[in-house]
Amino acid sequence: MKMDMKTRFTGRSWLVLGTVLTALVATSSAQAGSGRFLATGGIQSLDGAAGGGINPWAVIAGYGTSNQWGATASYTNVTLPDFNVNQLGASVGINNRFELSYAYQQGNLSGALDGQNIGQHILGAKVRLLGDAIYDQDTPLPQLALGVEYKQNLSGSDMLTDGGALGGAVDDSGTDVYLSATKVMIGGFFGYNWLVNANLRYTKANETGLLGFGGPGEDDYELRPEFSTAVLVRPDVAIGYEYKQMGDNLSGAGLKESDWHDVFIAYFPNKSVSFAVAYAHLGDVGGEAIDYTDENGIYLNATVSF
Amino acid sequence: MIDAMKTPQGLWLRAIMAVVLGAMSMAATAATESEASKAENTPSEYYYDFGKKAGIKTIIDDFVGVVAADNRINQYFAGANIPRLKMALTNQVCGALGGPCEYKGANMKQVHKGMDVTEAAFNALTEDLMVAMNKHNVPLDAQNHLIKILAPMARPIVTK
Repeated sequence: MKMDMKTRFTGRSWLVLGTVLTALVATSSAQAGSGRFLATGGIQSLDGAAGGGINPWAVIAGYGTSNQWGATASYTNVTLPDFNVNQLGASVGINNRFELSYAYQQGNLSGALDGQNIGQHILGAKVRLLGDAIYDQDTPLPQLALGVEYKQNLSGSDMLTDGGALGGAVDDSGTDVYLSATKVMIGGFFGYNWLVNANLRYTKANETGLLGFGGPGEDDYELRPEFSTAVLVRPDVAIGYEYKQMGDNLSGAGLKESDWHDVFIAYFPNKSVSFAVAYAHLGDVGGEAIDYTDENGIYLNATVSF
Repeated sequence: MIDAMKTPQGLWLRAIMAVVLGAMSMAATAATESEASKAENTPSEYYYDFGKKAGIKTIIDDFVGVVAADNRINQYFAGANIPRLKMALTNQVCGALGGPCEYKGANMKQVHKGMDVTEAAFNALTEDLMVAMNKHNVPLDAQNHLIKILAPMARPIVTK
């Protein structure tokens, strides 16, 4: 528990980087490309994976087809009454089959924890198992993907664990596994294209890991659902809603986590860039224990695709 | 999993599954209906949005022009008989929209055999069709209706 987190993380980073490069070399017959339809890569969500604003989807990052690779880079900012979070992200999509992603989140706290910082690294991998969200219009089957996310919290054990101000998580790192199903119903919503996504996440993260993993007396993995839906009111504009269930691992320390909701609008002027704005309802993030209630505010994302 | 279903979180899980399954069965019903209308060959409202057969013919003329200028895919059509291609496409789209036309060519798999059509090429062609439909102000719902019918054709057409 006391080992230097950043050193440990660096070791894993090199391992993952090596894996990425190996995968790229192994698929060198694939070319960089953007052969998929506009908006079908989603945006880089608040964990680095391709999807909506707060949830990953079963889509693969970028616009690469079955014999192309693509990549994205993104900046996200969430500004709430008592804290804000900035995220830098990057991802690679290979053959519209594999996705590797990285996100660095850094949060600045005010209010009761004024001047303190929180943060985490998130390394993600996703594989499309079956189905094609776009082509499979003659069957109700969705595109299915399986994803894994390794998260390393950077807040420091004095704050995060050992009964620190952030509630006393058991671990400063954790691994989530999720199954994601995405269906695009072309013309399915009063003639507009309609995306529906549902995830099941196997996790013990607190506030996605920003408050660590596990808690006093609550250190078991659990299944949490996530849901997203979006309507393309124009081929380049999506309006949607998302839901992400939070846990209650820190309830033993008196901290409360509300489920997350957001409504968003995303604009895809072309396949190189997208912008998203959302009203994010995070509610209690710790709750009255650290006086972080009604944390609702604005989410902004810009994703660049290569 | 079973235990999870009994918790309050399980309620959410079931609610979400219900929504998703409901949406999918709606989509499936819609697909069945569109096939039924095709069988009866009653022109859909979208057939009129395209300006009937004459409108479709004009759109296809422009579409083939857009494809010819598209360096991503025009090599696939280097040896094509353009008047015949236009006629086949017009009849195919007209028929797909429930119009009084019949595509008489070979099936999609045979027609594209050996052409090494990629997903990127299939999608580029579809994007060019959207350009042509936009030029002729085909309403978005009518465009989406046609694309929904064309999308599954990627399976027999894409071979590379």
